[in-house]
Amino acid sequence: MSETESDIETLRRFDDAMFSARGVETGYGDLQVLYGVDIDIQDDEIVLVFGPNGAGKSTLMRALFKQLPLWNGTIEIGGEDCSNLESNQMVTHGVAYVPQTSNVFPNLTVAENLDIGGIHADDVGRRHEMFELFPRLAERQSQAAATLSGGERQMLAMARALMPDPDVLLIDEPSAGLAPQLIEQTFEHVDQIRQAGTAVLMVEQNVTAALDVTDRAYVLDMGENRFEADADTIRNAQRVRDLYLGQ
Amino acid sequence: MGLDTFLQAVVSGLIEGSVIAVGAVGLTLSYGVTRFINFAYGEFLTYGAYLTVFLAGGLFGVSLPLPAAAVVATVVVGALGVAVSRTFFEPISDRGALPLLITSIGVSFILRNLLQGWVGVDARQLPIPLLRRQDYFGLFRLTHLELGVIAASVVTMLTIHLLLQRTMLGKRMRATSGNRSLAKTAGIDTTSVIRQTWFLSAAAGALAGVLYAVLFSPFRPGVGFEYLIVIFAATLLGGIGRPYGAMLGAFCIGLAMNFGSTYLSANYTRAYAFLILVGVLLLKPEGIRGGEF
Ligand SMILES: Nc1ncnc2c1ncn2[C@@H]1O[C@H](COP(=O)(O)OP(=O)(O)OP(=O)(O)O)[C@@H](O)[C@H]1O
Ligand SMILES: [Mg+2]
Repeated sequence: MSETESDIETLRRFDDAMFSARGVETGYGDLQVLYGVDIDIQDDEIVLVFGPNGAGKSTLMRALFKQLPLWNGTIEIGGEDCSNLESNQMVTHGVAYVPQTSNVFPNLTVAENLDIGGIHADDVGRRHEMFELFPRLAERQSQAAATLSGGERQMLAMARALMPDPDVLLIDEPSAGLAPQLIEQTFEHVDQIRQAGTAVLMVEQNVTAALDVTDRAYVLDMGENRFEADADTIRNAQRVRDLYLGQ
Repeated sequence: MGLDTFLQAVVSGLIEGSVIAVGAVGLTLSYGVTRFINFAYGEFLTYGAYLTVFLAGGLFGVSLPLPAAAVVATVVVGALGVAVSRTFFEPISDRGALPLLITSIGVSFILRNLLQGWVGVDARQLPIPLLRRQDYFGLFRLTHLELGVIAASVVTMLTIHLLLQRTMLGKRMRATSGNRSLAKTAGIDTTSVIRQTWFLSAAAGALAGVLYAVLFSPFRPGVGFEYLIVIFAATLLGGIGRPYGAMLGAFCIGLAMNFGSTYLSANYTRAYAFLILVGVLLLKPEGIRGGEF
């Protein structure tokens, strides 16, 4: 066991990663939240990020998507330096993002939300694929997004982000606030998304359930990388269980 | 005061409602994407009316027919709206609504005084013939110009409706209005969408100014600023930021103003609009909180 313990403290870096962030620092105004975070996402990988409340997980997602300016550090996508992009340019670089809250256009219908998702995509075929993945949305196309149930809204948020067929999807707490059956379903969806060729970086509090579909995980604490390892290793690491899984 | 008077008040209300509707929709569009009430909006009406007078009256060396002059003026004022936004509003767009609102009051003073310095305070009017009201079905009377005002307004409403519901620009505008940060996330260039919205807003304001000038010549450089209260009333009644609400609110205000002048006193036309404005703020304060379109 002790070998595993030391393993998870060393952050592996993947030189051939499709998406890689190095030394990311950012915050809000004077408040620094991230102190040099590294993240790699390889092709077709599901990567989990977890850690205590306020650790900076959502902030990390915003920084990776360039919604927050990088105070320091770099972001490379497919070997190209993307540190200076605006967030509205990320879609055309193959990155999509589903925020934790306010992740649909409430005043638009389901179909119109997908129209917006598809502005940089070949729309028609993709929309069919989304309706296959989320049949509920097909039935609710002309309904305003504001009137969807929590589960349906989360599906629409994912579908909107997936419309351009991104290489990597950043998704912040997809199972938050959902009923237990829907939580399982959400992770099944994430797995299907990966099988369809989109890598996923996911922040989750339902760590145990999320680890079932995850390949690799990062533990983030106080704005820094704490542990990194394969899902199995993380699941079995006593220190992770003691510190972050409350078991 | 019989049925005849009543019907005539309804018709007059609908005519003025047509003007207010164009103005209210323009104001509400810019509110919908920027979330601040643009007090300089009245100047777009004024500039629209004056430019049309000049273009139709040969001040720039050509005398365009009135409709052509109105179209050119509308487009020019649309561009002015974009310039105003880029110069004054964009640099402080992340400071919240209050600094923007106060800036817009300053912009309104600047624009009004520039115009006054240039053309003076004398009253102007559009080169339109005095028309006789024609009888329709023996029920109410209208001039051809009044009919034209209603038609122009209906066409504008329809165009804006189709733009918002059917075109990608319209959907981008609505997305930006509903959730600006998510719009950026989805790859929308929100800065450009906001500029296009400013164009539409200012152009609608200019058109409202022209329609106003058609009905109520002569006018002075304060015309748009003074009419702002009427447009505010309509916009708030319909829930600011909601174009369809603004259209509905406009016809209510138009009717209220004309019923007020017909049956109460003709001296307080705008006061009726103001009363409704106060009423909305008292009874339906969510009107001012606004929505998205
Ligand atoms: N918009 C903001 N302005 C100022 N501070 C913020 C903002 N958003 C987050 N913070 C602060 O940044 C820190 C990290 O917040 P963040 O939302 O990234 O944490 P998190 O790990 O996602 O937490 P949770 O598990 O609760 O979602 C917190 O101290 C929070 O108060
Ligand atoms: Mg969070």
